[in-house]
Amino acid sequence: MNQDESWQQLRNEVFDLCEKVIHGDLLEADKDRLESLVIEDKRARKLYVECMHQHAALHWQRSAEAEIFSLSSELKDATARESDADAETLGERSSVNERKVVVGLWTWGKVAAAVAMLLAAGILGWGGAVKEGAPVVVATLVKTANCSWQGGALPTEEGAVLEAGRLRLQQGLARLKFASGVELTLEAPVDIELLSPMLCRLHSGTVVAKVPEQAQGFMIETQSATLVDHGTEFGVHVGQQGGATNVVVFDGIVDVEQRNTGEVQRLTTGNGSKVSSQSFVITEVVSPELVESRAVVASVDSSGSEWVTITTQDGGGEDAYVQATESDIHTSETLLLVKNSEVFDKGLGYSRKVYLRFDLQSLAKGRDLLEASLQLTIKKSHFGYASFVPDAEFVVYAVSDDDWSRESITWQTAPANNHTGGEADLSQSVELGTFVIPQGVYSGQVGLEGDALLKFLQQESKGDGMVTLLVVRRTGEIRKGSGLVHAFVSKRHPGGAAPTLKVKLAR
Amino acid sequence: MNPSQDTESFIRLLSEHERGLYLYVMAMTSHAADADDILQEAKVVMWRHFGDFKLGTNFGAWSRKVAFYQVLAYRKRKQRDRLCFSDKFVELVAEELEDEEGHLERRYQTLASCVAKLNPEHQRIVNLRYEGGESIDAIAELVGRSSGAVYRVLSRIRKSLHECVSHQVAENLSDGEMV
Repeated sequence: MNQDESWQQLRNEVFDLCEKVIHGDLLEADKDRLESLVIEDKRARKLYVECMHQHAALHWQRSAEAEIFSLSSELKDATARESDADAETLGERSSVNERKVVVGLWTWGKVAAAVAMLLAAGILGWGGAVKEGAPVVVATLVKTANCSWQGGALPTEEGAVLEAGRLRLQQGLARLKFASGVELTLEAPVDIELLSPMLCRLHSGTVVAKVPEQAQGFMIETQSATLVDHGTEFGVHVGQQGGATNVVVFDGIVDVEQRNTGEVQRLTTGNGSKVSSQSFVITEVVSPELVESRAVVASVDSSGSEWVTITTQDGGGEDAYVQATESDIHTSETLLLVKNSEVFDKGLGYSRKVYLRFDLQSLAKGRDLLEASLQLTIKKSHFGYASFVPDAEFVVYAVSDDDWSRESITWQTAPANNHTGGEADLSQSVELGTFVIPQGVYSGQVGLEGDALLKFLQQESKGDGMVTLLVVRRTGEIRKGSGLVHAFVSKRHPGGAAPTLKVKLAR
Repeated sequence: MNPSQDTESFIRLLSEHERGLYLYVMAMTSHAADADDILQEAKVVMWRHFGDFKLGTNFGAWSRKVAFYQVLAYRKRKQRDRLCFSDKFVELVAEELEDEEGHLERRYQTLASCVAKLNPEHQRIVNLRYEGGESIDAIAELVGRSSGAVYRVLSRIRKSLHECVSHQVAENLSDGEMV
């Protein structure tokens, strides 16, 4: 018997043993045989793992239970479930629907504490089972009146279904209904980020929230405070550019946590509070009318320094990427693609570099910049294999030439591009620093801080106020041409945060 | 980081990695009920030790490590009632799952298209088994065949799915950059 034939035979044997494992009728002798095969033969091990992984994947993809297989349901169930020590017996013979979960195995006290913490945080009901590729509906835009929107990343027509993302209402009144049942009315001008059916971040402006019983725990974050609702109607106002947060409870209870101290105070009907990073005051509100005027008047932050966020959407900002070879495939309208690739016959064909321009002119002149950071949101490009790119180092360069447009920028014309290599032309640019995206990471945020970035921004803010940054991947690929293409959210992306500079200004 | 930010980060990361974690644990235990129990415990441990996790590093790898120890602990508790693989076996399987993560992810991405290629009767059996969670006996009754026949058909389906996926993954790889 030749080697192929004997592997064929072994392969069938492994398949059969896998089936027995899945069916739950593995005998002692089968188990011994499978163990020795898997331990001694690398191919058998690979096959066994593939079969078990496939069985798991079928469960995940097709099981309705996978949908609700979430932290929330599990932990919530755990609080209500009776201890049941009868662990289910193995395998397919018993129905999956009949499964029971053994609570007695836990150290109950600690679990209860963890559950209580998560429940208190209020986002449990919406935390889990977000399948990749299936965006979560956060809210619906149920009503708009005389609305005009600015640079919004989300659809803004009445009835639009909204995923996580940022809304900027310039004029008018708009009402959102969150998937959790919460109704939120935006009173222009409002800058708000929808994060989940139970969480949003109010950057500035006035909103009124009506929270039904089932959505207790709904949270609104602002720069200075976190508001946790306990079934109520309340109004919030946040001053421009990270000003103080004013809360007024019309009916019910709201817990207000001051962000920098962690101090929590409970507001009840008729209470109001004003929170900034420096102060936390609770007052009694005498009449609803006074409430409104207070909310508007008190919009100026009393604290000294403030954080300002500038994205590539703002002013003369822009973002784009260039590719060494023009191509109709493997491109993206909404993502900024980055790759460092050298293929023998195609040269730098698949290489891509990202250009970002920020407009600092909205920053008041004469105010010192104290801190700065660049933030990029990572997305999956679906191009290339992550297996062929190790932990990847990215370099950010300051580019002196700001005169480029997304429509006309090319590999050849892009400022400070080193046409023949993975990096920048150092005669026209300065390296500001690097960041790393670990292998296999397709989401989250990365960014850059540091003195070099701060100094560059300080200098540019005194000049024409335009800043161009070039982002390249220094790390190449292991298998030529097939490596992962990294991607960041661009200002045209419907759901994610556009490239952002966060700047701290002195008083 | 304050507690609410902590909670939010944790839930976000867990949501992102939920599928990978489920597949990892399920592939090690091969039984849905066991996997559920283990995952439940693993998530509580993760939450309790979330302070040890450094944001920005690989949450997937960290969560699998936590889950791995839960698998071992679970096996110890169950050893009396059932057959258990040796530690060596479990460790090698875990290592293989970790090393082949990219490969297995590609297989996962391809699986649905292979299920779609099954003939309608086989698709129905897959749905009954995996979606409906029906027992072999119940499926046998529903499709009008003996339990033994259903048992054999399910085995054949899983084998042909494995072959279909292997074939497609190899084909995609030779195409170079994946679209």
